[in-house]
Amino acid sequence: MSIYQVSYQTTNSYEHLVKEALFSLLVLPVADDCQSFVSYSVDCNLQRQHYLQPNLYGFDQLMFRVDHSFDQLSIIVNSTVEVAEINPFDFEKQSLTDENAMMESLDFKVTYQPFLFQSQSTRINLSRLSPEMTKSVSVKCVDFLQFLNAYIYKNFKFDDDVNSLLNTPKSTWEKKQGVCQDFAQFFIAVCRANNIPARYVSGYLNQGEGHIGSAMLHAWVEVFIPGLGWQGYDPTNNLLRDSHYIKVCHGVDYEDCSPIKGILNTQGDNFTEYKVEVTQQ
Amino acid sequence: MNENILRSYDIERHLLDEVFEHGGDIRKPYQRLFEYFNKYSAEDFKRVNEATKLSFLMQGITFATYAENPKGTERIFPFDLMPRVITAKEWERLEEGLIQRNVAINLFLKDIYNDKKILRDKVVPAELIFSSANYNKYMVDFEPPGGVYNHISGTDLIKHSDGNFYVLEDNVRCPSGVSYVLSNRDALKKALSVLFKELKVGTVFDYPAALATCMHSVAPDGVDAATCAVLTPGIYNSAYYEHSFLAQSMGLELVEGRDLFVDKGFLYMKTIYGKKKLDVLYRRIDDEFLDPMVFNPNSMLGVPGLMDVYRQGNVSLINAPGTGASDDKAVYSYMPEIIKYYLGEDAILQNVHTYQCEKPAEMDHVLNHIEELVVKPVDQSGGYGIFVGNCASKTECDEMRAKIKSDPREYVAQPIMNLSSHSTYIDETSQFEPRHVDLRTFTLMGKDYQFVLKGGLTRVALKRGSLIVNSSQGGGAKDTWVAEV
Amino acid sequence: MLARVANNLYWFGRYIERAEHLSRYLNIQYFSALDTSSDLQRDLALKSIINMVGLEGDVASYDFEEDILVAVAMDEHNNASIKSCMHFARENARGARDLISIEVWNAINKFYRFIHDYPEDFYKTKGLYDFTNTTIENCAIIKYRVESTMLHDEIWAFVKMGFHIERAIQINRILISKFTDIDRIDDMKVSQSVASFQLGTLLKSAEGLDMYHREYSIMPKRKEALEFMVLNARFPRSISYNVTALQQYLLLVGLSKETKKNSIEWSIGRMSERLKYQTVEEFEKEPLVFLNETLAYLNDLNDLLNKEYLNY
Repeated sequence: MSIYQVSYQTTNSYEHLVKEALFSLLVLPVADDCQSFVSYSVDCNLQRQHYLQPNLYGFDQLMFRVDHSFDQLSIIVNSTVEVAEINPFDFEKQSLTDENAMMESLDFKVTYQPFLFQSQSTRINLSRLSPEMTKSVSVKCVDFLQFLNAYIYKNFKFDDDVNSLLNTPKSTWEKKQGVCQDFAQFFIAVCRANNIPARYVSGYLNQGEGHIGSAMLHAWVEVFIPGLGWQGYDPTNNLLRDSHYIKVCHGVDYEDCSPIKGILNTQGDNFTEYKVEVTQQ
Repeated sequence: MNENILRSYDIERHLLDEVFEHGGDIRKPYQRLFEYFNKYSAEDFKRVNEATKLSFLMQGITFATYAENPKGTERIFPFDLMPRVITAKEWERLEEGLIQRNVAINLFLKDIYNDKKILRDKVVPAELIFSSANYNKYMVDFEPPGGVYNHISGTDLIKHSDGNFYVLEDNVRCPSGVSYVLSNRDALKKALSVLFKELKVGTVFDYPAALATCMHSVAPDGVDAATCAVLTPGIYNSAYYEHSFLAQSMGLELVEGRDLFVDKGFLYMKTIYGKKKLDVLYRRIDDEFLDPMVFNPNSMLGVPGLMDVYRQGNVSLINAPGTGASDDKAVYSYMPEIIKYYLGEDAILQNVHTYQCEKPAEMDHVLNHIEELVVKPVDQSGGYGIFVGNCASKTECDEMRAKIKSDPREYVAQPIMNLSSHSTYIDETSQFEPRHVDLRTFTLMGKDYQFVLKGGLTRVALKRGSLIVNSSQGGGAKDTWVAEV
Repeated sequence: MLARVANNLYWFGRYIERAEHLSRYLNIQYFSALDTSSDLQRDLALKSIINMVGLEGDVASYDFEEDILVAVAMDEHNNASIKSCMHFARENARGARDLISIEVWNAINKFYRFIHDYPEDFYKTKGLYDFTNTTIENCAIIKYRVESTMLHDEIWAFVKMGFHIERAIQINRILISKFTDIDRIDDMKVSQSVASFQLGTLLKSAEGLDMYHREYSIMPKRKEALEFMVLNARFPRSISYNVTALQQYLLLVGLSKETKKNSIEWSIGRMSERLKYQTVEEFEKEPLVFLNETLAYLNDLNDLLNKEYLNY
């Protein structure tokens, strides 16, 4: 068992006064089978009471509304979380025939539709990629996913400078570079195009041990494997999720998981700084 | 002796005119109207008709159209004094059919967003629903208060040359037009008061009260006296008159997005004395503008955070978001099966046969017979993008074929249904001429509550021979009487 | 009531009142100038009109007199024109369409149609009197309908506040404009009758000449005219009268609130009392200083109203 202190900090400055705003932060570690969420604290310069509001998938958003004018927002969210030992190699066996039959069934497609649906940022045309990106019926999901995870790690260059929000799976494939969000969305796109349910995961990564990540939240993928359930893959590090990963939330794509969203009544530009810190106790 | 102002005209053999028989005889339901109108001289009738229209302009009963005038010049909804008459007996059956159909749509929506049984049972192809741009992920695994999705349904009917009514399309997003029904009736009541008494015309003025009842019935759990409001995009919206009319006639606040905010899981409006909680919102803005936090972030029309409050069950939205997944023209063709699946009954109202271009065999048929078909984009409302084969040039047909081939899911086709024609007073010629009409009906559903507006909005294609009746495309309206004749 | 809708009602009131004052001012100034053969007076009248409406540029920037008259009344690109005022009045009324009576709405619409359809050419050559006069009459009709067909509740009170604050402001501006003209004339050492003439048009611009005669029984004089227009408690167009009326409607709206220091109720209470006990002798020497302060106060009052009630 590992105990982590995670800290999410952001400062936003606005060119013009903001008259009114609603903010929503998806930065609190989730409580689930592998994680128990111990405590959190919020420090905000606007001194507003916050509240928790579950989002579409039931993850708590930290929300607050500001009804007076301001031109700067700075927030620090500190939380403590316990992560259980996760043995990612604890796979049960299911026969290839069973797996294929299950994945081909209408029930499967209907049940997992939300995570098979190819949204704008998780859409790709397999015929435009190299043939090994198409899963053959003679290959088991687990093996295909291991291959895909390694493929991205080996062939795609991690580049912190690119503006990730403009990337699509197609552009990531063409440029062979990006950040964790792009790798995750590309991974998801390939899975969904192969009829494997996959979802985007946002969270913190303990980078102490040489893991690649950015100064922001990390992104990885959970894939539904028939007979096994949801499994975490991190193509940025060619790893399966283990106890270095602290999950915040999952969704269809980055859109569902962006750590901070704000709708502001103002005009002009804003300037943002983020910082994320993870310390193991 | 003056010549009769209302008299028979040439009716094409294959068409049905609702007022005159092919031989030129007046149909029975219109007998009394015929006598009454023909007491007028042509000049007097013109004058009465003009005066009625002028009163609309003065009352600001106008609409602005999007496309052709960016400055938003207002026009009145063209209107004439000749009502359309539906017999009470005929109406009874229609009403039954409308309730049946819309109840089934509601069950269908609940199902496709929750258990998805109809898809698992392969009655409706899963792909058809999941590929719809209107299948809203924010509605998945959620049931709105009272279990109602399509509180207000606008079902468009046409009367075919076989004398039967057919459903042309379902509108369960934000169907509009009801205010014109009430305003038209108001005007006609003044002009033709004698007839109203005689013919026992069913009232339409119970609509606001019925809508209010419907709204209260779906208030969030635990709310006794719900505060309701109408949400409008604002005064520049083409239907603003209707929004304010409905708010006023129900005694509710007419709010805009900027009047509202969410805090700690509830929706509030900003009043002169501070905030006030809102429980039921009849929104007249499209799904994608409802909540900039989750849909279109640039929308200034909606309320940030609204969808979270909605999913928490603390506010009721009318209609529910995501209802568009059930009223597009591809789903329409499955309506008979949908009704059968949920209610175990045959559909009372007939569908017009629909070819789905995404099915290869049906696409072939459409491509080969395009001159005899009406092709419609699956996803457009307001009459935009409708292609009428027998009015199109050869080049236009070829263009349409190319469009269908490049995106078959986007198009459906139907045989050119002969919309019935109806005597309509035409200003330019100062006489009655036949014009094609359809009928938009309004069905309300609350929790254990159903209501159908008696009659509805008869929409008129004002261009001679045209089949397109939408107001934004130059259509007009008629008062519709459900009468004991 | 929604704060935005209260704002709509308030501005509906202000624009109607503004359209009325601009029309009257245009009418009186233009036709008064015709009474004199002096180029100076005519020039002054046009300048004064430009100044009241708040047009950019001066008389010289217009090629023809008619252009000024059109810019003031009919130019829809000029946000300060009478036509624009009416447009804004109607837009605001539309924003509160569901709260005002159908009679008020019909009156607004009818008037809007009139202005909208008024032929510009006709206006330029012979329609100025008809246009301004019909505008004044229609504003009166609309105001009467507000009074006689709406519930006298807080909805009505916001419209009334709009009427009264706008009237106080417009009267204030007319006074400033006219006393500036009079100072200019004094500097030019022209005859006293010119100044008296200006005072006459001042009183007429507020529809107050006849009532002034009843009150004072003398020809318009500087001190009396100033006293009448600022302090008279019985003349519905004096500043004092309108401030007191404003206070009354604010109290109607704010019934449930206690009067806190620096609140709008507190502020207007003080101003209203001050005007009641003020004497004309205190400011007749420097009327412009006093008038500018009062105008600044009225604008502050508008800001306070925005902050406390119309904030959305």
